[in-house]
Amino acid sequence: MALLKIENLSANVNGNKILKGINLEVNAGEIHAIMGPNGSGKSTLANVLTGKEGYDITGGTIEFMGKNLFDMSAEERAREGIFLAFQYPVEIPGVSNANFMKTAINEKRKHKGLPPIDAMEFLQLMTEKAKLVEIDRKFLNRSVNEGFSGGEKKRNEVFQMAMLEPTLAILDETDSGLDIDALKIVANGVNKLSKATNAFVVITHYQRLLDYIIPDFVHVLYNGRIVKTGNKNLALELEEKGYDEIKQNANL
Amino acid sequence: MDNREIKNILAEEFLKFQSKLNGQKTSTINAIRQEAFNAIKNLELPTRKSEAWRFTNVSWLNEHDFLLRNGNPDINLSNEDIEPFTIKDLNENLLVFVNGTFSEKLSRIKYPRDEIIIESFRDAEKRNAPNLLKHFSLLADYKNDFFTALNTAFAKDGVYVNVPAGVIIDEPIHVMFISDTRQGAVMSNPRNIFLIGKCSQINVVETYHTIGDNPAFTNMVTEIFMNFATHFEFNKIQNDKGNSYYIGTTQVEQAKNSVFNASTITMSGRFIRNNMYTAFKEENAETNLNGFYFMRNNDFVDNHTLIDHAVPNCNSNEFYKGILDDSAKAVFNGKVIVRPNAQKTNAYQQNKNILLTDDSKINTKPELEIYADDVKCSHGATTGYLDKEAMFYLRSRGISEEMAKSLLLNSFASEVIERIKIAELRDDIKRQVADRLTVDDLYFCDVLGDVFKAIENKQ
Repeated sequence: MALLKIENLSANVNGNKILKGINLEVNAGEIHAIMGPNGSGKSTLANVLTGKEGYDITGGTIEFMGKNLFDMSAEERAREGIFLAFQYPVEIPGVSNANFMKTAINEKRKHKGLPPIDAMEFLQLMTEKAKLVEIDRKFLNRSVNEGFSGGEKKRNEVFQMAMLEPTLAILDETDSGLDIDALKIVANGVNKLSKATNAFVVITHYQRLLDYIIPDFVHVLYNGRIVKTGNKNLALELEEKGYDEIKQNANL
Repeated sequence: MDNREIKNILAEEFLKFQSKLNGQKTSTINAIRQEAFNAIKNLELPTRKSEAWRFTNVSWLNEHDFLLRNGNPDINLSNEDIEPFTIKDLNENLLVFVNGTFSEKLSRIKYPRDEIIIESFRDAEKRNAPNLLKHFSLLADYKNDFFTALNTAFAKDGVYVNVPAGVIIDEPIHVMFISDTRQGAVMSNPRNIFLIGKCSQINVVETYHTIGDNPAFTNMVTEIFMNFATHFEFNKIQNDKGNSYYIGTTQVEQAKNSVFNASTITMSGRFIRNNMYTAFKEENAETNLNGFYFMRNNDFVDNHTLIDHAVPNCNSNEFYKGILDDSAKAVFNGKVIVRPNAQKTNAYQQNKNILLTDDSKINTKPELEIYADDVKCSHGATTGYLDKEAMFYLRSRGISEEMAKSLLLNSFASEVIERIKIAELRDDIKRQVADRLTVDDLYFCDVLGDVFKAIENKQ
């Protein structure tokens, strides 16, 4: 059974057709890259998968581990194992990273019928995962993303991903705005988390990130459809030639 | 009941009150009481036609028989009765007033009187404390303000504090006002005076409580005189029953280099009007007024502030935040006067509100009167609902909508609550807010911070 199965998905935002029949199957152990020019629908796809409000699903189905995703609220999807690393992580003054993560982990544990996490166990987990993304422990006690630099915010997304251990992680342009050192840290975090039982969907503009996270499949999203699928070489090809050829072919 | 009837009842009460005064009848204080009573005769009960009461309706005054009930507070209440009103772990000077009368039995005052005076207004009046006679009603506008006049006419007890120069009182002075309504509706008129000597510092906590099911009306006036380089932490904590009515005026006068910090925290009460008036008498003084209100049901709170920049080089900062649920309503009115010679004034004001329902309501209004040209003044007011992006961010990590809402409201509140300087009080308020929001893990992050520090130190 596929981990994620999207069939003929279409969705509108404010009456505009953004997704126009997406088909995608992601299996456990795979890393998928979704590339495409601006406005092609990449972030819409990520938001529809994670249950953000404001999107009208006009057709198609999404199954996650055999369950209909549309029957689940955003928080239920997260508890079932879907994670989105935000393109623009939100600042939440007054809520510490530590409290945020503890609340999230305990909500997930409650969902699975487990007791709340032991404080010392949680502390160890945080220390371990903070090392993975090279976050200073002082960050954990600060308000979520407040006053963080762009790179720190993205590392914090990967840190949260490491804490929550999702089955399906979607990275929405996590590489944008990162310098090469931060990019390597983020990629390294993803590679260490990648297992035979989970999968990643990496949305990106540029091929650069894919030097460090090697995808099994590369999909090109254009004008609300996946117009081309290939292996990692497709990303290199796009880097060289740009999207013009793809646009032309799609518009034919 | 109309205006005239209320005045007739007050006249009868005043005669009764005067007949019980004995020795204090001929004092200078009583002369002011008489003046204030005469003023009441000519003053109208505020209506919504007057600008300062536009959104604030006091018609409830006609609906209940609020009477002065003296009785003996030492007989009617025990320490167990007031236990729920104490603040956990607070090492305090406790002064308890029941229906406006000081209870020696329930109070715990730590300082000997000859050095630092912390006593009841009544005791101070009995011994003709010179500073009390000199300062009584110097700031309170009993000739023009109906409720101040009412308080002044009936002023008989309250807290009197006179701190000499150069004293820092670590233990907060907790003034607890209790209305015992088991015999019927109660009106009380506590009158407080604080005189702070040069370079001295005190922390004050005021709390209000009702026992019994009848309504209580507390009409309070507090006068605070701050000398050179004094520091005053003033905390008003209002979390009383749903049938309590409160009108309180605090008047502060600040000398050079003094700092007045106030936190007004309002969690419940049927009707609350807080008048917080400060005036700079000399330069380089500072006022910080913080407020947080979190009202539910049909509760009402009105914060009226007035900062009088009468002299140059002073700073004022107002920061009020509120959450309104159910049909609760709130008013914020922040008046700042910068007089013509008050150059180099900094005056900032902010009021932020979150409405949780369509029935809740806020009326917020800045009133800036600026007559000097070299000043920095700003004001801002926001009213909104919870941030949707933040809500989705939290939910996308598996946190339920309800919990996400609680976390965000708790963080909204904490921005003000963190400014409370007394740690035990701050924790107590945090707990009250967290209990209402059912955020269980509120302290976790604090605890965690300590654990981290311990680990860092070990390494």
